[in-house]
Amino acid sequence: MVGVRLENVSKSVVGGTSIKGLNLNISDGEFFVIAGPPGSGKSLVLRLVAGLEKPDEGEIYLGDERITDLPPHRRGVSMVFQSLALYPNKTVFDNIAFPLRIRKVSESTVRKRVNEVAQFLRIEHVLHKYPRFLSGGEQQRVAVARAMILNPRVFLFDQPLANLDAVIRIAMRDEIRRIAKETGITSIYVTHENVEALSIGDRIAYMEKGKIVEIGTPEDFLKNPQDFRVARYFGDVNYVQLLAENTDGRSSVTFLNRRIEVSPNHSKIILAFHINEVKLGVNELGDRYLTGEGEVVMVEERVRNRVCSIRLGDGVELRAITDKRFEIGERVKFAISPDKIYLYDGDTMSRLS
Amino acid sequence: MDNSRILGRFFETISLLILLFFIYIPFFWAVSTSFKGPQEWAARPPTIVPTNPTIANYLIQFQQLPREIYGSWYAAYGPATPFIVNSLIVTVLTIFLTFGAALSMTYLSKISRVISRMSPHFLFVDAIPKISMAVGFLALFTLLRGLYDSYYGLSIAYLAETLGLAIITLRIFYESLPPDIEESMMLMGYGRFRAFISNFFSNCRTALLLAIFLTFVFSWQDFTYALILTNFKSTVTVRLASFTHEVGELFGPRAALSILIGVPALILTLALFSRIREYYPNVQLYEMTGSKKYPQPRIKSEPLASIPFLLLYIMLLIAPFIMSGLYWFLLPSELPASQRLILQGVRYADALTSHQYMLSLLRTWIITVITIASTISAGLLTAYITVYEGGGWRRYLLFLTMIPLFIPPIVSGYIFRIIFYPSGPTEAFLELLGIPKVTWLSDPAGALAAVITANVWSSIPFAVLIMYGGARTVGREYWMSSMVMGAGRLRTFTSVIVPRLWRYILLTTLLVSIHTFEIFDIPYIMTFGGPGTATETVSFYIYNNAIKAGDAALSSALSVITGVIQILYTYLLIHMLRRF
Repeated sequence: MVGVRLENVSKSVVGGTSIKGLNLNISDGEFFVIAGPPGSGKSLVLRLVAGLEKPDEGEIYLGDERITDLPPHRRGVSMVFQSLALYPNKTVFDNIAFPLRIRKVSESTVRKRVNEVAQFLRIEHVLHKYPRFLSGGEQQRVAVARAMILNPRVFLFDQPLANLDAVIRIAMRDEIRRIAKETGITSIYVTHENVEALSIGDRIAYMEKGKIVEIGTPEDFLKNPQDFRVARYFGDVNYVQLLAENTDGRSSVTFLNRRIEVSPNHSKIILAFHINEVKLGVNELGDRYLTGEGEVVMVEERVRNRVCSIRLGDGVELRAITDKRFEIGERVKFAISPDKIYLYDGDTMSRLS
Repeated sequence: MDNSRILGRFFETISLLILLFFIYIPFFWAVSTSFKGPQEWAARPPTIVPTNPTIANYLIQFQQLPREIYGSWYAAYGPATPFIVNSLIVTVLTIFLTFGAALSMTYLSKISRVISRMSPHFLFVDAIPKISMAVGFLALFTLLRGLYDSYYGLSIAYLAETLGLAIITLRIFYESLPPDIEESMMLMGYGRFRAFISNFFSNCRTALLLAIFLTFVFSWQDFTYALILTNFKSTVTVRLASFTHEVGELFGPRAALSILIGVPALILTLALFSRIREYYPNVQLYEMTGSKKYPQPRIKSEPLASIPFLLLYIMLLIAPFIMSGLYWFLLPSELPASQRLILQGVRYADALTSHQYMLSLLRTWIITVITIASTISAGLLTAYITVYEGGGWRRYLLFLTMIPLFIPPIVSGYIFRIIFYPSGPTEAFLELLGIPKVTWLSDPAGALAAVITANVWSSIPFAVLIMYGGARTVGREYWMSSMVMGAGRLRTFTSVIVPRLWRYILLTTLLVSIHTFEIFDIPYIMTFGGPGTATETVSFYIYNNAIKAGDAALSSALSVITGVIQILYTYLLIHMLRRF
């Protein structure tokens, strides 16, 4: 078992997203997720590790071994593709056996290994079938089985669940994590789904436009995001962008009834707070809170509660989770706890104290 | 159902039956004639079903029949076996050449952007009239001696025509596969080329079969190239067209040979139909998993890879057309260069001022316009029947109209020659209806009408096929919404569906007019351009007055002028097509 290290890797792609000077250090046995919107270059990172693309600059290491110039099959990595890349003309057994047969492993060993892997993934009953007759979840397992059969040093997953429907997706998500953890193989998992990234990863790297924005654990990303883009992508947040008032070498912004001091020399400030933190229909909470009043413009029912959109006087809309019932058009008072508001610089997007 | 709807359905079915009648009667007549003996095939009035069926007409294609038993009629007819063998050899050779070239181009288009962009250009060959290309190859073969009247020479000419379509077919299928498949193979230890081959041969078998099928159909059915580029090694289509009739027309044996030429394509189609259906689920599987065309990973361009491509490009696409303009200069001659140049100039002037040439152009356009009008009507009928819920059982009747697609034009020409022959079935049929006698093939207007009929017959399947495909692309919500608003079937068709089918109507027009503009086989075998010059089309005019007469300078001038006219026309139509 090994870790994966990318040092100062650059790769320019004509007509696609390029990456420049990327550094990444993934520890041994870790389940590492690369998340980001489409076109952020996250799949390119995976393809570089797989060896399907060669970096223009920089080095890639597996443990201590430099693999930058190795062809894909000599790297000891396995990949599960978005389309799964199951060979439709081969049975499930032949699909899983394919990597072994390329290496001219004896037929008895092939049979033994395929059966072992199939048992581990609970797909023994479909070994004789063709992939197109399997359900989405079974096809997924076959693809994972084929990736596992060579005992790879690293698993690569390129949005493998993107084509599944919601219910199976959640089940397979847990299954993939179980497999990676039980085998102890270092895994890199690429996805554009925020919930998937949070639920599956030990650590997450959030990418945008070919750059890593922030790396952290799911908890960091939810509770303590250091970058506004991460907060917006992973959390259900309200955000307001305000111009800073710079007087006497000090910066501040005014939001609702409160003037908030920030460190000096920022032109724009973004205030972000989770929609949980907006308390609706409260009257007296003391001075500690930011308070205001607005009109309910939309109510979105959820299973145990509802989300209300409140329009403030200056056109800003806030969303809030509440148990109480409000009618559209009703005026409502709300309060926000100031220590739950995160401040970000509007230009660099990074967190302010 | 209310009355108007029942009436509508009734007219639909009647039109469909008339279409089927028009398609099948000539075919049936040819089959029937092929089983008639010498006394019967020219009997007046004609018999519908042979009273004394005989297979002698088929036997004679493969062996000499003894005069004592079969009579002197058959003695004039030699076996067709050597020609069939020539056709087979050339066809197989063409399939290998085309497939090899198209497969390499598909692979190379992954690693070379030049090839990726330029390989569809081979389709332009189809827009240049065959006769111009043939003159070009004739000129090219004066340089590359030994290719004239050889299997290779003919195959290379066919390759030029088929390569574009083969490349497109392979690439459409191949590029609809996710690149993941090959990448996963490379991760497991295959090289790039081996992964490509393994992926291609396991997942693109349908494309492979289709490409082979299209190549087969083209090279097996061709007449123009075979006639001009071969002498002793001519193919079976040339054999069908080249009989001298000292003992009167041998309808029986020639009908039998027509059937023999038509049958292989028909059998192959039926055989392939099930294969294509078998592999269809694979294609569908990939359609389900995402976009139809996957963006292929960009690989660093390798300029060296484009060298074989450029060689083919020059040899097959650029050279023949340029050579057709240089034919006269490539021939050995004792004349000094300046005189040759002057003579070539005079020939261009001759061509441009020739009334006969202009008349042949006009005639060809008349044939084209009438053919387009008739085929589009058949196409619209197809669309009208199939657009609403696929047309039910009527759809299967429509598929039956495909049969002329598999019959070479030369054979269609011959079938209609039998139909329109003096005191033949058409005359007998019209007499039955009380219509005064028209002597079809010996009357100028009648002969032109007969040629047009034969051409319409062989062009209808294109229209049916394209418009059927077009009708399938109109979503049911389009016509359903219109019907919910109160429009009837006919109104919905004219105001909602036809506007959405313009692309397909134009595409039909394009294909049918390209195909009709180079019409040569049909007048050649039906009337040999006659009576007088009544059915002389452009291609026939060039062949008869320049190529056959051995006038290289005139051949060259005419083929360049005709080629330019056709290219401009095609360009105009494609330009219009792009706007829809």
